[in-house]
Order: sequence, then C-alpha cells, then structure tokens
Amino acid sequence: MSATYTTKKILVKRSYQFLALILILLAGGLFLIPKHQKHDGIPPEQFVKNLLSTERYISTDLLADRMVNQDPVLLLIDTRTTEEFEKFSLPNAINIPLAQMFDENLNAYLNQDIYDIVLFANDNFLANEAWMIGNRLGYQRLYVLDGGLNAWFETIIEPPYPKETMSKEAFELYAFRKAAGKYFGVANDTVEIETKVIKKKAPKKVITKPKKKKKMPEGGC
Amino acid sequence: MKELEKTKRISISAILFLLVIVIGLLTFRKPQFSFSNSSAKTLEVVTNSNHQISLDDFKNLDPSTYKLIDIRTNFDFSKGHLDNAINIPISQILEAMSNGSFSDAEPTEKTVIIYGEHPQDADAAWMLLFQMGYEQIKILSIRTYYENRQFHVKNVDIGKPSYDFAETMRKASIQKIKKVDAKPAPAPKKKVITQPKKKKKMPEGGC
Repeated sequence: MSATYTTKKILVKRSYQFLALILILLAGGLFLIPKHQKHDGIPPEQFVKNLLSTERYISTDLLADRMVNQDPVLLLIDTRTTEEFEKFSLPNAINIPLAQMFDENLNAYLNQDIYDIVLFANDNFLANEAWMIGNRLGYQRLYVLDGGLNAWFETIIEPPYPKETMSKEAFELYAFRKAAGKYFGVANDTVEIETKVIKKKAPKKVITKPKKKKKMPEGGC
Repeated sequence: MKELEKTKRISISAILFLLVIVIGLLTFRKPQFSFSNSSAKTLEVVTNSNHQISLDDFKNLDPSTYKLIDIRTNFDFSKGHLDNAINIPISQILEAMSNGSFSDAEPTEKTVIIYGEHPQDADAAWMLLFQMGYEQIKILSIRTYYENRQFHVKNVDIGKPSYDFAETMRKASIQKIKKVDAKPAPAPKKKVITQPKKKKKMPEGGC
C-alpha cells in the first residue's frame, strides 16, 4: 500500500461521514416543521360556498308531495328534543336531538349516502345548525325543511284560502295543500247530520180491487 | 481511479438529495385557512345556546364592550343598518381575514356580535368563525328588514313554535259537523195504474 492510497481512503471515508452527518441533521430538521393540524371535513373556503347556497332548503309543498308519493329515499329527522318529539312530529320521522348528533348509533343515520335526509325543527334555526355541523364534516344529502314545523302548519295543515284576485296557480296550490292535508290527517269534509227527524206513520195502503165490469152476454138473440 | 469515480457518483447523488429537500421545504405551505375547533366542541357550545343574545340584552350592553358586524350584502347595508356596525358580507369574511381588515374586528377583549337578515344567517357566520378559532362571538337574534323606506329590527324567539302542534292537529282531525234540519220526506205518490179500457167489442155473431 502506498501512502497516497491510504490518504485517499481516509479522504473518502471523511466525505462519507460528512454526508451522513448532513443527512442526519436534515432528517432532524423535519421535526422542526410546524405541525399542520389536520381536521376532518371540508376546508373553510368550501364551507363558505356551501353556507351561501340555498340548495339545502326544501319547501313544505315539495316535502308533502314526496311524502304523499311515498318516496323510498326520503328520511325525516326531527332535531328537536325528545320531549317535543313525543308530543308531535311528522309521520315516520326519526328523533335525533341536536345534542346527541354524535352518538354512535344515531350518527349512522346522518353520515350516509343512501337517503335524502330532511332535517327539521320548529323553525329553520336548529335544523340549520345540524346541517352546518354535518356539512363541515362532509355529510352527504342533507336538507333542511324551510320554515320548519311552523311553515308546515301554515301551509299544509292550515293553508290560507287564496284571494280571488290571485292567479290560477295559487288556487291549484291551495287545492294540493288541502288534499295533502287530508293525507296527513286533517278532516276537510263536513259531515251533515240531520236533526229533528220526525217519522210519519205510513198511511195504510188501501187496495182497491177493480170492479169487474159486467160483460155483456155474448152471443144469443 | 475507481475510488474517485465512486466519490463523484456519491457527491452527485448527495447534491440531488439536498436539492429535493430544499425544494420540498420551499414549496411547503400551510393552507391559508383551516378549522381549529372540532365539530364536537362546536356542537357543545351550540347546544348550550349561550351564543345568542336577544335584542333587549343587546340594548343594555355598553357599546365599548362589543363590536358589531353586519353580514348582509353591501347593498342591504347601505339601505340601513344598526349604529356602529361594520359591514363584512359573509361571502367576504375569509377575504377580510387575509387582507387584514378583519383584524379590526378581531376579538380581543371585545365580544364580536354578528347580525344578518335572519338569525340563521348570522348563525352561518358564527359557525364559520367559531370553528376557525374565534370564540368570543355571539349572534344577535333579530330579524332585519326594509319596509316603507325604513330600516326595521324585530326580536326573534329562536325555535319557538307558533302553534301548539299536537292540539292543532287534534282539532284539525275532528270532522266538522254541520247540523241540518231534516226536511219531511215527501209522501209517496200513489201509483195509479191505469188499465187500458177494453174496447167494447161488438157482440160477435148474432143474427
């Protein structure tokens, strides 16, 4: 072995060590990168767009139409408290109080992709909050009943009679609402009950026998 | 000489390796906006419903303790608004954050109070801001509208039923009864059977 060869060998070894050191340092630097917190769901920019859109609102008339036609993908969710739900709710609705939205067995109804879910409460506010929390987490096919149960009663259960000057469509809508109301248990037909029924004695039937006319004797002189 | 070639190759690969790391670091960027409060926490605050403030409570507040934000459009704002309100339409909240004009309204010791056309509009802005980490925010439960060339403000009882649903339904399901005086049934007419009169036949035969 010559002297130059050994020095070269040492030099090579040193450069190896140097490179290795740099790589280790850089790898250590990865720990210094600020932690980027990852959160579930959509980014705020998308959330704002969704908030501004009114696509989430479904009118009471449209909902009534879908319920009457027994839409198989429709699922109603009552976001009010259990107490209120027990007093009154829409037919076939499921009760998921807003506070229990993240309960494991209840959350499965909201975070799905099979049904068109219509959230409702007394007015827009509570259902809208459930919608917003769900939307941020990226839940699909959530809708809000526009006006809630208050609007439901104003339009379907007790629809106002349109004014005479209103358009033909208003009358058609009124007729639809009346018919839908009947489906949901409103009795529109009035039953007429007769009072003071006086029974008269049936007069005796007099059977009068027709008198036989005396026939003129036939023949003869 | 073989050894030298080896070092050359090693140094080239090391430089490439370094370049990749440097480029990676330079292009590394945090997303501009991100949510920092979790949905579960938001839900907890929402259900405790202490994020709302009624009109009466608002009137009793000292104006120096809060900042008022109107989230309606510029057009609506120009027609009429509450005193001391700053207009930041909901569609421009993120923009306002990035160019710094929102920091003027950024909660420090002051509470930020948001209002819009309906409480649910203000609630939308609240949801956005709260989940992004602003916690000193409240919404004003009012409805604002423009009528007869005047700006009106009305307090709204959030979530209040305007009907007693069960009772209304019960009443509606009862069939309405209309009493009708029965008319005496008309007496059945006697059937008159008219027998066709036989024509008198001339007596047959005879003389």
